[in-house]
Amino acid sequence: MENKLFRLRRIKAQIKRFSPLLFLVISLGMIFLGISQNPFVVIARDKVSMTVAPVAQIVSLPLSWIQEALGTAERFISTYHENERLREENKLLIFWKTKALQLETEQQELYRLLNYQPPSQAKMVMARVLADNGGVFSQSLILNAGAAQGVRKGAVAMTDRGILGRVVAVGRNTSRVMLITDYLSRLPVSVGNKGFKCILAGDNSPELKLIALPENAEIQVGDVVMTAGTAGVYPAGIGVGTVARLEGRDIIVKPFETQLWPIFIRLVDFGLDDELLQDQPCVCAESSS
Amino acid sequence: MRMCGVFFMNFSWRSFVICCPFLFAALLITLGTAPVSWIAYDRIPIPFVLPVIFFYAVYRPMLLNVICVFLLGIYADLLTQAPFGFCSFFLVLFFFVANLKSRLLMTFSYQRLWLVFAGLTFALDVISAAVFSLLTQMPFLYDGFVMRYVLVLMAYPLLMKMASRLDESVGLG
Repeated sequence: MENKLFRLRRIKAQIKRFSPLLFLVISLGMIFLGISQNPFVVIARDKVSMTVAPVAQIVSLPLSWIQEALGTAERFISTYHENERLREENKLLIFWKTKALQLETEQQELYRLLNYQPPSQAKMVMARVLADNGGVFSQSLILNAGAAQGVRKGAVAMTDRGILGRVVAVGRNTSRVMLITDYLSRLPVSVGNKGFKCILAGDNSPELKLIALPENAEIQVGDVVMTAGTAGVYPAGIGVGTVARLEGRDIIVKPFETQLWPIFIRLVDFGLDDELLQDQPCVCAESSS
Repeated sequence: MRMCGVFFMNFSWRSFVICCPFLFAALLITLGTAPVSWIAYDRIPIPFVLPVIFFYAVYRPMLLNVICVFLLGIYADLLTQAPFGFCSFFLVLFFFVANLKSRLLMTFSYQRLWLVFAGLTFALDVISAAVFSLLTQMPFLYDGFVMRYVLVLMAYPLLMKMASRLDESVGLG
């Protein structure tokens, strides 16, 4: 009897000793089996991120206050230079305002002559960033607006400077935006005045790369990159960034929105094809685009 | 009825005590993904949980065992959008190495233990970044690497103190 107990204890001790190895093997198995692509995991991820987001925001409040205080002090110090810069900018804006009004009148007149039907107005929701999922692994943000506020999967996330990404998952009061800098992000774009069609790929760094360029493409530094509207994910003609530099065969694009963690984000629903946007799991939709 | 109430009160307190290290570690993982723009780099999840795992691996492996660490890793995977199993693998590995040499580490002075932690964290960071680059075919991203490492090392004394205080306050110390 004692011998049996001794053997049992020995087996138990051996199992305990090697249990970390077992969990290491399980983890490795999960990585290599690619369980991340499983729809259940995708859903679980979104649920967990969205549930935890408000907690993360509360936890980060003291740090945000310090950050805000530092920002205020910095702004206070640079007020004089900021004023000078704003005066210059104001002069330029007045000029562009006049120009815009003139063009608007002209456009209205042309629309009237052609009997042109303008596209329906896009719906817009303002949202605040609650949490920042990733960094090294992915580039996504959790926002405090969801289905209850009228946010739909596929809505384009923008700031006043440019495009940030798009909504890939919607909860009741929260939503997740996959940024264009995410390594899974593939955005069909047109480059420069000639509008060369290619793909803008993220690699989790603040800059983006142009891939799948046509053979005869002549790209120059400073060329504007805009959404191409193909694949039906992003509407055409939204500014994304400019060509920053050419590194051998790589063409690096700097997004207009360089601040990767803005506080407020505009979610614009351009009313694209509902079936295309609503019926696909987010990861598949991103890779197929 | 009264007996039953006492039993459940005791049971819930006991459960809470047992869950405390796990909940504390989970909170730290959540804090690591909190939306704060750091001065050097604006988007880095910081593994504040590492000092706590190190503490429990060395001093109290019964309170935060390998299953708990594995579950924490899964939670981190879900939260940070990492490839599934990635964080759990590295957290279990970290726990395993620290726990394997726990008898030796317990004899170390505070400063020496800090140095060991620094070495382990550095090795873990380098290996995880390399594995991630291999898995995703992406270049090694070193932008937030140094900042992240320094922040975890700076948080080490505070988190170790908090973990030991937590043990004392719930009557486990």
